[in-house]
Amino acid sequence: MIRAINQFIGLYIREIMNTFRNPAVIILSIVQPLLWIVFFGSSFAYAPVSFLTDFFQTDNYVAFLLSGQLATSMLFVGMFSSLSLIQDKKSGYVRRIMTSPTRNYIIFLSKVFGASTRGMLQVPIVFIGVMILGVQIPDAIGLMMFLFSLLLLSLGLSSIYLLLTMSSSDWQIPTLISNFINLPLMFASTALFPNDNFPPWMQIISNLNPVSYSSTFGREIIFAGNITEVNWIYFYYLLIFAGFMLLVGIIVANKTLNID
Amino acid sequence: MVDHNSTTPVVAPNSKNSAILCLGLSKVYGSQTVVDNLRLEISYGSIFGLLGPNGAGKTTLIKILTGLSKPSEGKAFVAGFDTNSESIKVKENIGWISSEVILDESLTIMENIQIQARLHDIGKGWKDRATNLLKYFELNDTKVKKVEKLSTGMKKKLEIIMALLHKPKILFMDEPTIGLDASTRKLLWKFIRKINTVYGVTIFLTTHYIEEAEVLCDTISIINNGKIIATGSPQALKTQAHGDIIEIAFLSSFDYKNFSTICGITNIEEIDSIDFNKTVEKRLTNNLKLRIKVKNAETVLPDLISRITELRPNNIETIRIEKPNLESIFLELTGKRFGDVDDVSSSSSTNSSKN
Repeated sequence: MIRAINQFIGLYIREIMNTFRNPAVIILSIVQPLLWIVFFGSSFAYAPVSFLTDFFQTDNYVAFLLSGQLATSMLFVGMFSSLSLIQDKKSGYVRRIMTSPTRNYIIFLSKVFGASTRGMLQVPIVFIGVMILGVQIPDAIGLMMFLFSLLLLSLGLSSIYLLLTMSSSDWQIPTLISNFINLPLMFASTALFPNDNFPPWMQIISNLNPVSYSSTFGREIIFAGNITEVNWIYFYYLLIFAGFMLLVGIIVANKTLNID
Repeated sequence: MVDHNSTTPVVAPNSKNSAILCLGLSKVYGSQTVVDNLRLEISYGSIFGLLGPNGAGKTTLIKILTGLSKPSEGKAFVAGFDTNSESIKVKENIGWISSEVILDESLTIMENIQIQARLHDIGKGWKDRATNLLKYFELNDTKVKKVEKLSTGMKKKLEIIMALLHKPKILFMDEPTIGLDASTRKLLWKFIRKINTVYGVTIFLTTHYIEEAEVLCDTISIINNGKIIATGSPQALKTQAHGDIIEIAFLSSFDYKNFSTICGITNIEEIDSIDFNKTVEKRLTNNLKLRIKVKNAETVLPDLISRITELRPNNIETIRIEKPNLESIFLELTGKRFGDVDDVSSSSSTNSSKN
């Protein structure tokens, strides 16, 4: 067990170092969600307050959008995990790892946690951005739970991406999957709008979609400023989602990740 | 050293006593048999070279031996552990260096080593071990340099350091000097020898360079179409092939058909080839060149020259002695020049007859 932890730390640190040694990745990771918040968030800047409060349960659409936008970002973060694995397969680094006594699931976990950490890097900057736009930041526990729910979402989504590309070495696959699933998952969720007015089929997707659960859970914390009024079902759903996807990923990685 | 593809060992092999032991090992991809009922035993402390044309099964064999691929049939033991059921134990005891440079280029030398140390779960002692190796391989002054800034030779040295960090018993080197310039290649040869002698590591080497195998290896096996078709020391392989070749160019042609009978030299094995050189000069238009295989050229030559001179006075233009080398043996055994690309499935019948 100690060996597995050591191996995980080694590979996880590598992922993090590779992120921090690439300024373009950091800048783009931070700028992209900020642009979303500023441009998309401003689209309702002159909407009547009554419309906003009726439709979004807040008079500040940015406050509504914040958790949804961060949840959506995690969808795209997932793509990085599979791109990173494919890069390591192509460069032979996976083979280097696999000739050491490292089990395949450690490679999987390091990629998932590495991508999730990269995704979480944007959160502090986005929070500073939304504070400027008048959004109240929740208390410390609320903030921690908000971040934790995002992390769970990110872990689950990164696992899905890795599962879909585990046996592939084709750069195009993650991008194709991203194009295919990210937009439907983003729009069929409560990330941008409440799902009350969705058609029934889209509501079904939205009610299963973990992006909705993360968006709604985070939104409740932002609106209340603490965790006293949150519905914990959303959180538990994310916990089960992340745990299940990680478990499936571990099993599949041990069985299918190879260079044969 | 047990060789070839027999399923019955001459002496019952013991997986614990051998660095590497393969028993009836096969690997099949679809309808293609890449490793075919292979039997091999490599003792501890040796430098073993595996030669073969592209597609002969070298890399597949290394994949099986390093626990990356499961054999379709048979068993392989590395450092006494079954590569199939005890692959983690195998990996604890091996190092691996590939033909390409596989490092994290954005990290420094020390960071790459640190990750390797974690992968092998080396405790706090990894830094001392790394420093010693860095000093030994003359990289200590550059340990904080990013790998992308290193020369290919330095990168190869770093790979060797990383492969030795956990004190492996066996080091697999899959064409480690491919693409390197001659001086860097020779520098690596020096290090490979040192790894074997100073660190006592058994080395399993595949190479595209005959000279490399000849210079470095105690034992060489030639693999073709997944089968090992010859094994022995470089010297033994040369001897078992065909002995020396005496090449005699004559100023004018003559009836060479009964040459060996006329010469009365019993140990001329055969007249290998006749070459009417028509292109060099007009003077040589009708000349004759004979290649005669003999067991030992120095023993035969004086008698041969005197008999030829008796038969055809003043007719010898040049005499050249060709000692056997691995290149010629490889050609003879596989029917291919070393480094030729071939189709694994197409030539099995040609070569199996030579086993």
